[in-house]
Amino acid sequence: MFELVKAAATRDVPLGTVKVVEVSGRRIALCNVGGEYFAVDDVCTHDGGPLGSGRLCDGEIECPRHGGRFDIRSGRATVFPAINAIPTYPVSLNEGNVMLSLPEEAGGRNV
Amino acid sequence: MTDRKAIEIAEDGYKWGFHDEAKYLFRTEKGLSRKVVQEIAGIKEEPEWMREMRLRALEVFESKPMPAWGPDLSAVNLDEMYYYARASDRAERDWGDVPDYIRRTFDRLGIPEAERKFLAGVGAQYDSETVYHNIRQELSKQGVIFVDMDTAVREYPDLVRRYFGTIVPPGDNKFSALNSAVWSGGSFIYVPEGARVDVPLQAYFRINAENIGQFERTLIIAEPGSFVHYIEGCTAPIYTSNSLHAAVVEVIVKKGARVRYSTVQNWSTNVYNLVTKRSVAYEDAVIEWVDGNLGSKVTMKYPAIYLMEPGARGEVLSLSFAGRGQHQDAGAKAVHAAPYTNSVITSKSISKDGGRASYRGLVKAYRGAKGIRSSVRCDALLLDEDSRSDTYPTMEIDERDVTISHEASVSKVSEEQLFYLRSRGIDEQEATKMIVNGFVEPVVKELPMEYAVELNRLIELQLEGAIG
Amino acid sequence: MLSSVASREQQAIEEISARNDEPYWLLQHRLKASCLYGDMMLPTGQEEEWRRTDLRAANVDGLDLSAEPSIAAAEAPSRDEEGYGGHIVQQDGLTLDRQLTGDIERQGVVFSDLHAAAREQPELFRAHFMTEAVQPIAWKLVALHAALWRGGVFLYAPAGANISVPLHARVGAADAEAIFPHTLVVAEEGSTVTLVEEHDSDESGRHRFGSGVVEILVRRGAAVRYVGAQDWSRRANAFATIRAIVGEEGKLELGLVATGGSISKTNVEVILSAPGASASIAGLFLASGEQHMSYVTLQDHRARSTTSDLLLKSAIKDSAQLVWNGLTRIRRGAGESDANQTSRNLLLGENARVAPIPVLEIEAYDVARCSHGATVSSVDEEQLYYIMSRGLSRREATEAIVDGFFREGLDRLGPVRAHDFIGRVLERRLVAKAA
Repeated sequence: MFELVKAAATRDVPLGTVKVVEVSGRRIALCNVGGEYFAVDDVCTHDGGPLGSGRLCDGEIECPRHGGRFDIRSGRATVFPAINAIPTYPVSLNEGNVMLSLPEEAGGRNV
Repeated sequence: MTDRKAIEIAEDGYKWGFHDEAKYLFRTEKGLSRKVVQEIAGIKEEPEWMREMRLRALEVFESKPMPAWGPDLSAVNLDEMYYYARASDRAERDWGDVPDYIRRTFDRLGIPEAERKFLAGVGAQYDSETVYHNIRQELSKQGVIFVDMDTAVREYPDLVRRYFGTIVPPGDNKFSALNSAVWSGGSFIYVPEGARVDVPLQAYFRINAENIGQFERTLIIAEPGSFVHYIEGCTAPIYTSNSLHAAVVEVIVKKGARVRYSTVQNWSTNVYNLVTKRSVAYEDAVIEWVDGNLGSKVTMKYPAIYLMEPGARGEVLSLSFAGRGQHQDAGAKAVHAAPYTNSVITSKSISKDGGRASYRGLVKAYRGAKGIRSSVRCDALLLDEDSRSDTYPTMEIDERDVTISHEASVSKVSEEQLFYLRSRGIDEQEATKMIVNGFVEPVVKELPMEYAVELNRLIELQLEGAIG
Repeated sequence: MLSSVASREQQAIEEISARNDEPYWLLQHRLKASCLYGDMMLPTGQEEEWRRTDLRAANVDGLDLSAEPSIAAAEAPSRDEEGYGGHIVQQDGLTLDRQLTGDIERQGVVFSDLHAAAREQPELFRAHFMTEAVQPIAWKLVALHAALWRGGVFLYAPAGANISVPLHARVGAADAEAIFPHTLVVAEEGSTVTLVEEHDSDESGRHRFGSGVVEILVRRGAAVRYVGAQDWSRRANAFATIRAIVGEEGKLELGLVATGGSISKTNVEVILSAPGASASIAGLFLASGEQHMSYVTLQDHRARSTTSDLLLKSAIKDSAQLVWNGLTRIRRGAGESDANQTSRNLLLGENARVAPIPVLEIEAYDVARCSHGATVSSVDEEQLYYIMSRGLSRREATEAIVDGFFREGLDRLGPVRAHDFIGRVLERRLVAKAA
């Protein structure tokens, strides 16, 4: 059903930053917002831009390609031209590591 | 004065007498920098959040490259421009310095004296200050807000902050980033629930001491069930020494509301007009863009409609006229993000004397947008051998339950039609005018009558080549 | 990394050349192309025609590029060749059978594989092979093709030859992982010739990749009809570059049918190079499963009074995707020209996607007509119910409608026997695991 995967060490994702990791065939952007960790797909639902290279601002992540934004918690699009929500992944912490719950079927990146 | 001469003069503002800097009340230093942006925010006495947004937008602007597609922008020298200037009562120009081709157009269009001077940036203030004042009083009875954007930021900060930059973020493209950093002027319109504004609101009425629309920022919010028609620009050619215009327009149409936004742009032929216009329409809402592009050296403008909830409808009527040395790169975008939404795009373009008119558009259907209908029709008319026309439509359809169609054609004036009219004793030039008139009619008829009449006359003049 | 690939190729090239007794210049041609391949970059993926296609499909790392066809395993699947004036059957680049009617041969027509042509018709071959229509520099995978091609089909019709009966080629793959089919058609002044090609491989074989080329030269007043039906294994990524040059008063009818491949990208360019040239292009595409089909077409009007007409019909099932970038360019001076592009797309699957992008660039003023149209829809509900009312299930009715949708297009391909093959293939794919 779900597999628990180690994504990164917490010290690799300092406050207010984003780190992109590749786990189980998916590119995921790990975000540290106010000490809390979140994980979203690295690929923007608008035009495939690198969300992980974007800014974190007020609990939202902004895609550098066209400025669309998503709520980091729910994945909901909050600023156009982003429309579809970005997939999010449940995050837990374990012994200084950021753990992700990933659905088990193979997740290749969609073109 | 020959066409070429007129354009040369137009392109080099210094021949006009803009050399005397003392005539400006204030002007930021040349080029764009944090300092310049801070100054702008300071002069306007803006709240912190707006200043921050401007500065961040500057960073985005600097990080983005010029677009790799579309018209040639290589002559745009971003470092040599002044990004903010506060004009005095605009007595800085002499009527005698206004180019002939502009003066002749005013004559032929029958523009009143006072208006001419205003449009040409000459002489005393045009008297529309009074008109504007009266309109504002009427509107406030309905709870409708219609002010310039600077005033809005000061007087309605919460309202502005909620929506500003949420439809067109700074990061959208290089020129929306530029606008977000240095915007000044533009309109703010708020129409409360159920309110219907019967008189079209015109940008013209808004007098402010700022530049004529160099980096205008417009925001329109239509609450559920409301209606407003906004008109910007005018058919008379407007001379401006500012050769880069980058405007942003954001329009939000809520449930059951309707907004019509009409533009007739006739900037002088030294202007690069790069505009981002986007509207979002919710349940059963209607957005209509009527877009007329006559002037400028280069225009890049693609009014967009985002149909977000079932029943939303959008229409774009676009008319472009590309004369000598002009490149009109215009079109429309329709994004269907909800089922049972509808879009119609009609584009008419005319190319003459080597001008180039391009249609560039997008129709996108997200998965789940069932039962949507979209129809796009682009027609281009070439009037002579040197002219050029292109169409670049893109469709991205990810939902099967749709009805999408797109048709385009490029042609010259039909021999048959010409023959028919000439056989009735109408000379070739007259006949061409009639045919062109018929060609643009579907778009022109959607404009308020005074505009339509002026627009028709202007097109006629262009065809005659009488005004270059 | 690059050098090891180069040496791999070099070996393969020398083997192919030796095996086929190739003249020295041809070996050099291959080696030069191989260097070119090493030097050229792959597209970045930002180009308009690559934006929606997975570039990884163009990566040949890890592929066995030099399969030596095992002759023992190769057996030409027999087929009724009645109605054809000649046929060639190939597998993995090896010719298994070749026939040509005496009548046709006596008219001076050459119909053989490229190796035979290089040996037996050296001047003809050298003059036309990758000189005018497609050159190795077209893009990286064409350079690779120019280095490693084998087998191939050469059809040469001398001036005035009038061949009303179609010729037939069947090109398959079984043991080879990578194939490089090449077709060269030259129709000299006033000649008429028809070639029907089938490209076919099975999922049970080793076929994983292909980069094919079709060159068609239509000389003054000649008429060529080319029909290519592709049903490659659904585990193979397939690239194809088709380019035709149509001369004065020349006429080209191009018909493309595709049902196979995993990720496939086909570039079709038709150059109307002299007054009176005309071309009609028809495409019937059925994409299903997770297939990705990308077509990039060009109708290039370079002279006065030229005509082109493109009709693409696609039906997309399941989660498949079709992308079409079509450009019609009417250059300055190509007045009195008539060009049209029509794209009709039926989306059948819940996750089916299509992106038709027809572009017009018009620089000539006195065009007679230049237009394009594209539609996207699902199967018409009313039509569906009408057919269902005749006792068919919804699925059967859908298939009937799609069948009719394609039949209309089949007519455009002209009266060729290949209709049977095409019809069978379409039907097989259509019916398979409907969404």
